[in-house]
Amino acid sequence: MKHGLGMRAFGTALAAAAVLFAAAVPLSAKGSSEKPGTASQSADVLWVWRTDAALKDKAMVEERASEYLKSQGVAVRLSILPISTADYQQKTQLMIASGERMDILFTASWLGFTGQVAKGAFKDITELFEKVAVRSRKSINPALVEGVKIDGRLYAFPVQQEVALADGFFFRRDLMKKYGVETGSMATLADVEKAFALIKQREPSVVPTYFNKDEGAAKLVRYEQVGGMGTFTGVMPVGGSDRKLVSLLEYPPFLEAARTMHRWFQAGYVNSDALTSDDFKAQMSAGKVFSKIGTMGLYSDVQLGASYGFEVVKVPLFTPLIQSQTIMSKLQAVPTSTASAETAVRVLDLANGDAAFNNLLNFGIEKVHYVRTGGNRVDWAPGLNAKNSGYAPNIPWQVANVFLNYLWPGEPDDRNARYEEWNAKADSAYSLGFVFDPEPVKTEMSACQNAWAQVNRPILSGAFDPDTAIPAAVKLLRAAGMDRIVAEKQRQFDAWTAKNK
Amino acid sequence: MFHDPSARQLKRSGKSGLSRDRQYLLMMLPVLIVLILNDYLPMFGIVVAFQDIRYGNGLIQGILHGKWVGLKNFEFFTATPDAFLITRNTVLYNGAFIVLDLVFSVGLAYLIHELGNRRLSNMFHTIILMPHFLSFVVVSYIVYAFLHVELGFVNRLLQSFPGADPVRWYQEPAYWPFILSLVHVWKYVGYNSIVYLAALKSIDPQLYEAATIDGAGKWKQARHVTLPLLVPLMIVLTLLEVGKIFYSDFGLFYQVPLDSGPLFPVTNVLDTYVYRSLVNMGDISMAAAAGVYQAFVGFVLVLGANWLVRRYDKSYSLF
Amino acid sequence: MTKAIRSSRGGNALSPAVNAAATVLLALGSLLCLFPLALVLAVSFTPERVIALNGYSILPAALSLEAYAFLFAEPLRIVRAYGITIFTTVTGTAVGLLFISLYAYPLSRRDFRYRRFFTFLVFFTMLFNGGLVPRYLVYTQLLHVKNTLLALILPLLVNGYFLLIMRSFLSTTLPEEALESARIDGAGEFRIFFSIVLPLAKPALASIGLFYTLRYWNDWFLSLIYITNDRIVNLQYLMYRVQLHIEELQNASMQNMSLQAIREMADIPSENVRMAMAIVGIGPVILAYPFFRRYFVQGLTLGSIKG
Repeated sequence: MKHGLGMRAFGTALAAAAVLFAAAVPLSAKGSSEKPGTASQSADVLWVWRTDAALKDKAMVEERASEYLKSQGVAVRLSILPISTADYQQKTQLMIASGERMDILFTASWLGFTGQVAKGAFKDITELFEKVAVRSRKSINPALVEGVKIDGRLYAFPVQQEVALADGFFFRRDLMKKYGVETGSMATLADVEKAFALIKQREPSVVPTYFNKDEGAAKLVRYEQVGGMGTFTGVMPVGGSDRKLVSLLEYPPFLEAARTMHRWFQAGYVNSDALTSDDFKAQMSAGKVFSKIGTMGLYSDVQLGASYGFEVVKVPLFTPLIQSQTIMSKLQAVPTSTASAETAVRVLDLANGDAAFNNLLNFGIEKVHYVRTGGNRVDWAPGLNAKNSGYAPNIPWQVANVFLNYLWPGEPDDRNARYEEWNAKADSAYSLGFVFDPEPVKTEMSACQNAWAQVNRPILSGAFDPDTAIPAAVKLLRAAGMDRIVAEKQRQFDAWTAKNK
Repeated sequence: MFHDPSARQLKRSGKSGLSRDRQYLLMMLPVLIVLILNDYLPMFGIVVAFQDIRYGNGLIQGILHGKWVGLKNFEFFTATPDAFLITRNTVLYNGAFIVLDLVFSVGLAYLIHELGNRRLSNMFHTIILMPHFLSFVVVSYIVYAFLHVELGFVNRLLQSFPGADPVRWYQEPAYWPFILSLVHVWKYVGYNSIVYLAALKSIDPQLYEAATIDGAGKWKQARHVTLPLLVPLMIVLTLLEVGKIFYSDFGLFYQVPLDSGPLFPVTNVLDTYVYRSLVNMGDISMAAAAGVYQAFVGFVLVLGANWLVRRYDKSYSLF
Repeated sequence: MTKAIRSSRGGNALSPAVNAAATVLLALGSLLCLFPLALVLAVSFTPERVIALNGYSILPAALSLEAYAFLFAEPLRIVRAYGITIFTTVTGTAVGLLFISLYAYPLSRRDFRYRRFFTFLVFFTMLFNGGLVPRYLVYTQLLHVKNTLLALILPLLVNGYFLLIMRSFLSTTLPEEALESARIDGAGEFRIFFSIVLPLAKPALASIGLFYTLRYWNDWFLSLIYITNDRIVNLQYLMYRVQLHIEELQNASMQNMSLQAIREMADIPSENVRMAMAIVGIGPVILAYPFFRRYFVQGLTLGSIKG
């Protein structure tokens, strides 16, 4: 018998098992300051953020924040739990579904907000907002608060910032200058087409426009999304005079836009690998793209330009529009698992209504992470930048009322006024405040999601001829139950209109 | 050490038989504990597939207060006009993969095992194993480098032949069953052959010696000595694959075709269908229903296949 | 005609013609596997601009370390993640192998009364599972292993697939006479297991050990759901997160970024980083196979047991 080998194996096995049990020792005490999920020791507020930033000085800021909260009459410890963007949806979904304690949670329409509300994930804070959120009621535009209510009840604080968006084109300024094309002369699609022809002829290595997922023809036409959940569920013209919902594919102006897109594709104005390629940033940064069709806010041109290294000009095709989807794209909700909804609302109220607290959360501690440079302006503390600062979450759009933020280099002094002007000049969607609940037609929704995924790209990018592709797509979607979805959405919309308008 | 005859009797008597079984049970205890904790305890979640729940207060509360809706959550499998298509795709691909895997993995293992130069064969095997380590995202980029409509290697090669048109690969469904099968074999054959290689090495050389003495040539030996000794393993693995017949390799069917719509008729399988349906809706009841559906069908099929195998030879069956 | 040489593999060797053909075939196959990998390596050393201009090329127009510089910008984080991965892989593999071998051995004995039942018990879990959330609940609320290394090890510890393969090996390759003679000599089953079964099962242990190693090495999902402490995430998860972070920067709507963040992040490479991550992830695992292959040796033959 092989004693030696056998005994050695046995010994190794024992050692391995011992190591295994050692591995069960919790390692969260290794210096991190978060205490996720367990019952509160002292009264504390756990705020979940969606950020990839490495917040080395988080403990310092939390300390200062807790002191400030105390000075304002809210005696709690603030605890921030940053979750990386990669995991955010998955992790928070898990935490909600397992009832793990959280007090404030960032959520959005694109993170499934309406579904979460339907499943009871958040507390109804309508009354608390009225009673407790004194500052926010003054500092946040009431229209925004109304806009995020579902069925008249409030489940989250909206994050106030620019909310109006327009669809249109982004053009490279240097190429426009080179060929003497004026921004003002790009008023219509025909003008744009002329510019494309010019670029195609004179700059062979540059593609006039690069297609991005879900954009293309869908952005060349104006409509209200009416509660969201996909354009195949039904859209209507802006304004509300015509309240009959029809899926985007059957919306008459869309057919025209699709035909234009197809003409452009055939003329070589759209990148030939539009069906598969998602390489816009690289291609743009390498100088191979002239324009992009997309959605724009007030400073989108500056932001896009900074990102790609080319100065960009924005040309909106329509007046900016405020829709539920945009307002609901940045929300701070109070999960049902909170220890105290009232405390959470108080903290949120301070974040949205108190400039000192707001800027502490967003930018850190004065003189440590940033320095004042006069008036409301600030800049990085000496030697610091976005990459090496101990506290640079870079998510002011997520945390709270952006209008309270200090001004950073590159932002104009009258930033707030400009945002307000942009918002004020925009049209408000008739359907603002309506949210579509797909639960009654969820079976059809899943079939249609698949069908839509199958047919949308060739049409939006112009790769297929819309006169054949659109009827075929509609047929496929009909078979998947699209009509029942549109009918249900119409029903809900009509009921909402009757109640609210 | 017992050499006492009466003790020997004791060992083979009922008493020692029990004791042996108890020893066996003790050996199985660690795995049983893990199975209970990791698999059986969480199984209560299966009921979610038959409920409509609100999980605001956590899942457990949701289940306790949830509404029972029978098979409603399963409807989205039959409601789609593609129901037959995705089922057909799933089953046909899996069937093809089972056959391809068996043939190529066993074949590769045999060649590696028998190749004259041992160092060479080890090197080959290590290289052929490498694709397994690439994630499907990376693989999809590699495939894209080959099949890109303008810059892809294949089309550029085609263009060097006069009269040959470049193919719009990501729009033509017809080629994709072959492309996907090729990618599947390329990625997994090295990995799958490892276990067969180990099996080949475990074959007692004395069996081969006996066969040679009986006058059997190489081919005969392969058929009558090697293959029969591999068959139990092949059957077990195939039965397990049958159990997974409604599951698909998500990365292969979603990433590699780059989620291209026109290819859906041949690349949409159950798992991609479920993913596309639920990714925007986050409905955990429907997700659970999908799991139950796939598990149940596979389960029934394996029970059936296992029963058939038992009728042929009990020792080959799974259980 | 050349006489077939008695090979140490048992039985006759392949005839030289067949051997040559096999060599060519294997070489072709290897080339098919090597070329894409070479491509990945090449792209990982190509600057982002060159990729955007020329696409993927096995001989890039320019070379750059920018992808690796980006990945290793925080070397401490990577080293820690490597450490975690190595620990979980080694521990998980060792313990997992032990556990499933202990289970597979009785299953492989034809005279074990409950054989069918216990096989079924394992097999059932391979198909049916309660879903992510219930398992998460068990792990976090019952076992309290969130943010521990056990959460990274336990879920993968018992793999039904590997277990049944082991059982198959043990039932075909264990000589019953050896076991019987050991029992006659008074050995208990545990002793038999460690002294006879394990040594004989070397090839099986090696191949399944390799499978375990790969399984643990490649996992990123467990770190995602059970770990919130960045210091104990594993390597593949870190890579995954870097990848998605890059995608977030590329695809997120522009309204979701502050201007200074946009400017600072403008030059983040992405295509080559993706490939660099693949190389970083693969590297050590390539070494694992030769390591395990050493144990793919002929198990002890019948003759040596009888001694």
